[in-house]
Amino acid sequence: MRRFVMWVIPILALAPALAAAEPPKDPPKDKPKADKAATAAEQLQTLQKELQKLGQEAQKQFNEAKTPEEKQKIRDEYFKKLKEYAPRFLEIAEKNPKDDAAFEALGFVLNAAQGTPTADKAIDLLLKDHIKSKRMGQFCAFLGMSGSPGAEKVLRAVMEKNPEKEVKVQATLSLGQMLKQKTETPGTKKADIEKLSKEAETLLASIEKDFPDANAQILEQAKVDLFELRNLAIGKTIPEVEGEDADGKKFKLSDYRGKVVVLDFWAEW
Amino acid sequence: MAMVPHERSLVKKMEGKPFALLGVNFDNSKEILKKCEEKNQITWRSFFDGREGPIGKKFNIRYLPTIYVLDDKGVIRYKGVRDKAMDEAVATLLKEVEKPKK
Repeated sequence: MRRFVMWVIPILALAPALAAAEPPKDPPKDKPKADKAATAAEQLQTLQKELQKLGQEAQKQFNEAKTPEEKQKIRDEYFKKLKEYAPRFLEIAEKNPKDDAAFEALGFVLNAAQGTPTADKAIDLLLKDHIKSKRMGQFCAFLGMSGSPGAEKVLRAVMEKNPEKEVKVQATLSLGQMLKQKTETPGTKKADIEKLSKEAETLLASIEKDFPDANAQILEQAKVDLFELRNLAIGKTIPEVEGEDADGKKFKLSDYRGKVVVLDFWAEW
Repeated sequence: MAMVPHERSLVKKMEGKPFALLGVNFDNSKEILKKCEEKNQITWRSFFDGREGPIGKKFNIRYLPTIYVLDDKGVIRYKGVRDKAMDEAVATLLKEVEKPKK
């Protein structure tokens, strides 16, 4: 249940996250501004409403499904349907390059259609029309979670080309997090893991140095991620854990050296 | 919590071997933890950390359960393994303990 919520929400939550932003500058000159903006936003809204309904239905079916196989099937079908929507979102972005709605629409495409030609087109549009946008910051946070090759390309371009410091720092953090995440993806080769961790570490460490004025949350997050990368990665010796058990008896993790240990972070709720 | 039945059987199967299952628990109080352990026949120990506790913070825990599998030297060897994958991870590491490479 919790896992299901986690994968539905990123897509649906994207719209409000990106909606809070500045109005579009330099509207296309060949068409009346108000008309076009309204149309793109409206088109987007219509699609989003359909998706919301789809998501709610899938959630309901998922909750009612009895076996893991059934749940998996519902999940797969939901993703398939999302993918089918991608070209329609892409079209909105293509036709309204300077519009806020384009930005949002591309976000959906990247998320829903990962690894397809539609997603590649969305990357191209993002690089062509939006790379210098102030709003890229929020978008980077989202891209970092997706982990796709396209997202990586965009993050690197933002770091290089976006003029805003707040946006650059977000892109740096997101790319660092994304590379760190990849080090833990099953099947990643050992040599690649080393390369990825090294770059992730450089990026995360650069945040405090190069962006000392960044907001506290970003600085803190970079620190936490850096600690995790340096101390909690596979191959590292686990940091000491000390505490009390349910009876109030003190003990330490290192008391268990000499034994194979499964350490499970858990709660009843 | 969903993992408890599997963990219980793993602990049972590994009785007498150099193996330990340990928890870090984020419930609200030691009393709740104690009751939960009794109710679910949880025989292994947990560090009580509470909500937003220092251990959870140190380990940057974002979701539960989070799993680390350590070898006999305290080196992190697997992360996030569950059920069968957890059994296999433990079995592999136990072989290393029983037959040192050097």
